[in-house]
Amino acid sequence: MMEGFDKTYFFLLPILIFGPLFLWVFYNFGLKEILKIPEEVRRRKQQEMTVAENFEAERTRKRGKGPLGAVRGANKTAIGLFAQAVAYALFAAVIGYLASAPSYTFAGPQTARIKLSLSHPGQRKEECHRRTLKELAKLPANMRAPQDCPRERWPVYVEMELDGKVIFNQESKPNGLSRDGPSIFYGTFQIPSGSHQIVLRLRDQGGAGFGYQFLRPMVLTPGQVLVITFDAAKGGFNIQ
Amino acid sequence: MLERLELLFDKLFGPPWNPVRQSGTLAFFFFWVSAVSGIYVYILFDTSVKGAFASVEYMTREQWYLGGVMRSLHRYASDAMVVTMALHLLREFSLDRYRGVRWFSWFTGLPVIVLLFVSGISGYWLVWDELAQYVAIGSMEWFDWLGIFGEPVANNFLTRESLNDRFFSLLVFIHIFGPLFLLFMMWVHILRINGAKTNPPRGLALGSLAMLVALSVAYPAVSHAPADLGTVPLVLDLDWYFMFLYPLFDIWGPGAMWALAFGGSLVLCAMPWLPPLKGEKTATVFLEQCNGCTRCFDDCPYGAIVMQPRTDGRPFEKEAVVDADLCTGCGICVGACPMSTPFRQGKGREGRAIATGIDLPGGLSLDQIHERMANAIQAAQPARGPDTPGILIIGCDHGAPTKTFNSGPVQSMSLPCIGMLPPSFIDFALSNQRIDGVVLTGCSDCGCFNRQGIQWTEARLDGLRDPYLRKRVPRDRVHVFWAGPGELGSLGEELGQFSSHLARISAKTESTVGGSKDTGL
Repeated sequence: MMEGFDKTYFFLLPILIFGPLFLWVFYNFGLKEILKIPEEVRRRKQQEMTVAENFEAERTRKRGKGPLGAVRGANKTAIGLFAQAVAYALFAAVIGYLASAPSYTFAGPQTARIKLSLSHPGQRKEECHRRTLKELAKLPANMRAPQDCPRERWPVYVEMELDGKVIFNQESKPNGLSRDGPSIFYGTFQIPSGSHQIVLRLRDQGGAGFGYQFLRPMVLTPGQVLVITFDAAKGGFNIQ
Repeated sequence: MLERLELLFDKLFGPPWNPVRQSGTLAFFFFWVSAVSGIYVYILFDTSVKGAFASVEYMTREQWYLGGVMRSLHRYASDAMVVTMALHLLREFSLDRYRGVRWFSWFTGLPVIVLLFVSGISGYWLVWDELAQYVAIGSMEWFDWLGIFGEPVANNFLTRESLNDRFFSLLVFIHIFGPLFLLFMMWVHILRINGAKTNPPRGLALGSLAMLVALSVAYPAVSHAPADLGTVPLVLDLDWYFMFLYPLFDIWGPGAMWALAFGGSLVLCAMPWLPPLKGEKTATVFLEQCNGCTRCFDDCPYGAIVMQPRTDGRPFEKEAVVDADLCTGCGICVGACPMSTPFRQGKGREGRAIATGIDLPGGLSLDQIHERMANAIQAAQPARGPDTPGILIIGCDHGAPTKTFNSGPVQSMSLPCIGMLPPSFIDFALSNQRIDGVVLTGCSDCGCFNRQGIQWTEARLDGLRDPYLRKRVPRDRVHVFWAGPGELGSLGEELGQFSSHLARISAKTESTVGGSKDTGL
C-alpha cells in the first residue's frame, strides 16, 4: 500500500500534527480573547478608563476631608520628599551596582580554550546499484531512475587526546530524517596555557580503524582560542 | 516581608505613589524609557561588525552628554524593568492573585518574562565587546544543544573571520523585534483586566525618571574591551539582572540549563491550577429584578459582566449576563446594583429575603450580609452607652482582620470585598439609631485586592458614582480607614478616635433630643 510513497512528504507529518495544536493553543491563549471583545464592550472600556481617570482626579481633590482626616494621599511633605529621594538613591545604587558588578571570572589568567567544531558526512552505508527491469516496472513512470542509491550514511566518531589523555570522544549520527546529512560535533575545552600534544582521530565508516588522524605539538598562549575544524577536501583536520 | 515593605513605602511615598504597589505600571514605564532611549541610540549605532563597537564608544565618550546618557538610560531602565517585573510577580503571588479566573494574566506573564530577557540579552550582543562575545557565544551554544539548527549557530563566532555583517544584522533585528513582541505580550497580559492601569502616577514617574537620569550621569554605562574571537575574555563585569544564569551555564552546561528553564516555566505555567484550589463562587443575575441599568457592568473590575439584548420579554433593552470564566466572585457587582437594599425585604423570590438583580447565592449572598450585619448590631447593643458608642466595622477578607476588635459595643463583619457593600446598608445600620457609627475598612489604601473596590466605595460615599449613599445619612457617623493586614495598630487608633468623636456628637444630640435604641432588626 505504501509502495511509491515518497518519503519527501514526511515533512507534512509534523505540520499536520503540530499545526492544529499550535493554532488551538494560539486561539485559546490569546486570539479568542482578542476576537471575543465586541465593539460595544471595547467602547465601554474606553469610557470606563476615562471615568476612572476623572474620578481619580476628583478623589485626590477630596482627600483629607474625612471626618477625622484619616484619608492619606501622596506624601509631598518636605520630610516625605527627602525620604523618597533617599529611597530613589538606594534603588539607583542597587541598579547601578548589579548592572556591572561584582566581576565574574570566566577563565583564569593562565588558561586557553580549544573549540572543536566539525561537520562531516559519514560514508554511505550501501553502494548504489543498478535497478533491474522488474524493479523499474514497479516504480511510477516519472521515478524510474536507473540507479538506486540508498541515502543513509555511517555515524561519524571523533576522538581528541590531549597530552595522552582522551578529553573528547563522541559518535554522532547523521542529520536528517533519512540519516543522510552531515554528523555535527561541537565542544569547548578550557586547558592550561603552554605546550601540549594534541591527537585527533576521525572514523566515518563502519569498522574499527580511523580514516583520519592528526597529531601535533602545540604552544597555547594565555587567553588564546584554538579552533579545530575539519574539511575532507583539504585533507582532514584543520587548526587555526 | 513584602507587606512590611509595602507599609514602609506607604509611609515614605504615600499610598498612591507606593512603588511596590505600582510595580506593574513601573515596569511599563521603564519599558517606554528603554524604548525611547533605544531609538536614539539606534540612530547613532553602526550595524556592522567592525563599526558597532566604535559607534557605541563614540556615543559613550564623545557624545557623553546625550548619546552616553541615552545609552545608560537604555541599560538602567531595562535593568529596573527586570526588578519591578520580579517584584510585581512576587506581589501577585503573595496576594494569591494568580489562581482561578486570574490564570490568564499569570500565564501570559511567562512570555513577557522570556521576551524581556531576549530583548535585554540581545541588546548586549550589539555592543560587540568582550561581554557581548561571552554572552553571544553562551547563548548560541545553549540553543545549539537542542540540535535544531543543523550546523551549530555558534560557528558564526568561531574565528575572527566567521562573524559577518549579515549575521550581525540578524542580531540587530532580534533586538528590535524582541521588544516589539514584548510590548504585544504586555498588551495581551492585561487584556482581561478592565480599565487596566499601565501608567504610574505622574509624581512616581517623574521621580523614577529623575533617578535614572541621575544614575546615568553619575555612573554611565561603559563597554568592555572590543570583542576578539581569537582570545577568551577572562574577567567580565556582568549585568546580573539579565545574565545571572550564564555563570550557572558555565558550570552546569546547556542540558541542565534547558532542564531548569523548561522545568521552571512549566511550574510557573501550572501554578494557577496547583493545589490548594479555591472554588470561586460566581455572581448570578436575577432577571426579575434586573432592569439592565449597566451599573454592575460598569463596576466589574474583571469585565465579567456583559450587557446583552433582553431575553425574558420585559420592557427593557438589555440584561446583565455573567461570564463565569471571568468572574472572581468579588461581589462588587452586588454593591453596584441599585436593587441591593435591605429596606425592601420580603419581596424576593427563590427563597431570598432581599431581592436584588445580581447576587452571590453560592458565596456570601445579600441575605447573609444582612444577617451578619444584624448579628453584629445585636451583639453591640448590651454594651452601648453614652460613653461607649456602638460601632459597626465593615471590613474585607483581604484587609486588616477586623474580628480582633470585636468587643462590647464594637462589632465587625467582613465581606469578600468592601466594594460589595451597597451604600444602602450603611444607611440601614445608622437609621433608627441601630448603631452609632460605621467604620468602613478594607485593604490598605490604593492596594485593593480587587483593584477597584475601594475606589468605587469612596465614589459611592462621595456621591460621585451610582448607587449613592443617601444624603440623609449623617456623614459624621461614617468613617473610612483603609488598612491592610499589617495595619491593625493604625486601625485601632482610628477606632479609638472615632469612638470619642461619636461620644461627643451623641452627647450633643441627647442634650437636644431624647434618644431611642430600638434596633428594629
